[in-house]
Amino acid sequence: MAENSWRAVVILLCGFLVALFCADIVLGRFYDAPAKRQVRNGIHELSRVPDILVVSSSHGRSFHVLGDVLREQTDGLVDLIAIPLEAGKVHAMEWLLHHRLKPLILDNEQKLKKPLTHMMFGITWWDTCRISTPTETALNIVTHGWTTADYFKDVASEGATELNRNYVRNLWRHLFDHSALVKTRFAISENFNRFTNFMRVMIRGQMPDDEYQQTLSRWHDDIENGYQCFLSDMDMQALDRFVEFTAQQNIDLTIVLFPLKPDTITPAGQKNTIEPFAAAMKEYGREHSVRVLDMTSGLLQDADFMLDLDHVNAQGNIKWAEHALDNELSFLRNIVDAPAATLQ
Amino acid sequence: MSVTNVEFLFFLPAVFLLYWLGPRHRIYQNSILLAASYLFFGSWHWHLLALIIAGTWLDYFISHQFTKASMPAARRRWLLTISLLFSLGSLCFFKYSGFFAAAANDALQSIGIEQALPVLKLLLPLGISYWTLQRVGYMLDTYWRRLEPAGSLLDFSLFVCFFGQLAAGPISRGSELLPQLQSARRLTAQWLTTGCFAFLLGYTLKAFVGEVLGESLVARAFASPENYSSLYLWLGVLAFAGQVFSDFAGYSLMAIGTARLFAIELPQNFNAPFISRSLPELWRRWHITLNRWLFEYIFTPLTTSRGWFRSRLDIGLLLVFAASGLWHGAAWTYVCWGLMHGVGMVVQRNWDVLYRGWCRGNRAFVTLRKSLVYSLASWLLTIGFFVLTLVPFRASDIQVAFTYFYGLFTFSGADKLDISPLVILSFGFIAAMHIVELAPLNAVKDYYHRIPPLVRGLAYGFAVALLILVVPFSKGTFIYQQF
Repeated sequence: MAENSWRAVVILLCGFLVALFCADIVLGRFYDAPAKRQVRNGIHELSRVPDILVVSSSHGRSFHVLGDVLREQTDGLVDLIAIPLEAGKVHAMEWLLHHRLKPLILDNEQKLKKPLTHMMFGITWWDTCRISTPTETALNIVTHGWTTADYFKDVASEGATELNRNYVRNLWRHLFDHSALVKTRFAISENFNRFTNFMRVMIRGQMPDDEYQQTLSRWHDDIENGYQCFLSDMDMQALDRFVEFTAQQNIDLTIVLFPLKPDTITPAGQKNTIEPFAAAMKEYGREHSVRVLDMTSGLLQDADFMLDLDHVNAQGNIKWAEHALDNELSFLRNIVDAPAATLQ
Repeated sequence: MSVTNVEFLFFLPAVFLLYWLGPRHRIYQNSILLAASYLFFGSWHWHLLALIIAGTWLDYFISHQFTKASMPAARRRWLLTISLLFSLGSLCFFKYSGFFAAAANDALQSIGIEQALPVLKLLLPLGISYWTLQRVGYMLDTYWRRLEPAGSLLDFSLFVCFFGQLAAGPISRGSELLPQLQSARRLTAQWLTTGCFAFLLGYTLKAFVGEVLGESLVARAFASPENYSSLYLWLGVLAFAGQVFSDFAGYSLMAIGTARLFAIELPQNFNAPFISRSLPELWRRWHITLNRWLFEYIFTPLTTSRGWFRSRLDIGLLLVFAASGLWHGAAWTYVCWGLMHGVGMVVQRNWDVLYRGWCRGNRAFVTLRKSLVYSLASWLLTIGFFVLTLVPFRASDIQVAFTYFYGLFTFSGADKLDISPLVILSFGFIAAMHIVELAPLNAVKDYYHRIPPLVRGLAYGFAVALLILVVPFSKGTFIYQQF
């Protein structure tokens, strides 16, 4: 067969696809990267009107578990939809509310004659941080909430940037949602930092200690110095607009300060950032008649968090959801019968 | 957008399908490629499209004036001057105005005048250093009547800004690229396979080898050289040599691969430079298209002209490499790097002249020159010199470069070297790419072509699967793109 005949090309392509397919299947058996709930999943579910709508950073995935537990405890009576926005930031969540969620909420209200009555907003100190670093735009991944039109609008005004590139990256990821290779690639980036760590965890069952200590040290630094960037004007103004919207729509709003891994909080971090942030948010709640629940610490242990030292793992999510519904968030079980106004 | 950005995964197939599914006609094919190229350029900064379009139109018009037999020589010179002023003036304005203003301010400050000139920080148009040289080369070739002007504005516009080579070359000659653009192209199995292979190899070099070496060793060593042992610093600069090679050779291969998908052949830009045994050989193997441009359009006219520079080859070499340094970036570290190579080339040239004299007197020197010991020694000296000159090339400023040099030669410290398997794999990949180019191992390449397509396909598939897992997430910009 001629080396460069079309027949040879077809055979080569077949070999290529077979190898990719096999690699994908083998990897899928070796490591089952969890599918991650994204904005689009939440928006897709908004064809129905939930009893509670949660807008949050990536921690929104824990609220999704909360919804499952709540549905189970109330025999499906109370419905919760959680919308997680990767990398958070209040101004990005507020953009999501006004550009994507608000039209759906108002449309549902008209069509289904059922207004949304409860919202929750899950945040941490980080979500109010304005950081002046070159990676800032890459971190503020509001693009997870974009439509294709939003993407082209941004490219037309800004050119192709690290910010709008996230949209294309998400699109690519979404196209190959079922591929173990693609899911593992993103899991490596988010949880293991690099491929060699991933292999070590797979073989030894744990993160190399030096890598863990380095990551932990970064977290300590971030939290200890978080006070320098938190409660930024940009994000607090966005929060004001968020609260204004819920007040206008007569929606009961609860702000949840989400749990952090105990190991990442040093005494200095607690004093400099965690406590002042919680105090400021409680004060904000009093001023704006919004319920603020501080769940930052007290319940979850280090073992309840993922390798990224930030997100709660599957076991931790169940623990947190059950505890929250027995305590701080117990009122959610009864909201179907109770009018929103009585809960303020 | 860059060829390693995720957008390119959507952009390239879309252009490929539009190009080949439409009529097989030169005007259609060139129009699609030109529209895609302007879109590619515009995705960085669309408002600067006017600059590239204006320059293209001007040069097209002037190059056609050169063909008029009745035009007086003085008028031809004037027209060439206008073209060069526009091209090189734009390059200098965008790339060097800040550098020269800062240097002038430093000089003025020494005589007591503070901040006399404003230091502009301008957005550099994508690939300006490359398409400017390509246009200047074309203008000089048509002025010297070595090349017929482009047949149409469409062909010439595509010659200037074909998206495959827009960001960082290779810098093509008019005689190489224009004839290909002046007729319709046909897709063959060979174009497709060689294009995909070059693209995949380039991507592996850039996105895996370059990123792994850069992330793991280079960034740390050059950020604070005072904190590392000599051994680590040597590894750091060796890794940087590997990184800069992988980054740029990778980009060039991706550009060549992209062009082949449209049945266009671009010139080779790298040819196993790390097996070079002399500096002239190195510069014939490293960034080939830039160096041949510098020698064709600066060195040769300068040293063969009737002026003072005639036959002053050493001065010519120093000037060419100073220009090369300045072309790489508006900073003293680049000028220093260029001058080091200029001096190296002068020493090498004089050594060659001296050695040839010895050879004429005693045939033993000829035998020595052909021996393995001589080859190894000259290889070590050449590569050692090249690697050392990369210190100012990579250092953020001259002070850091000195600290780095000091650290290299104090042979101090003994920190634990944490070399990951991926770093070893990366070095191994570069070594393998060079070893197969050595004459005794050329048979390996022939053997590769005899492997059944199914086996090659399986190998490519597993390679891509592995790349999906190991290629680090990064910004995907190229070191050479900033030049």
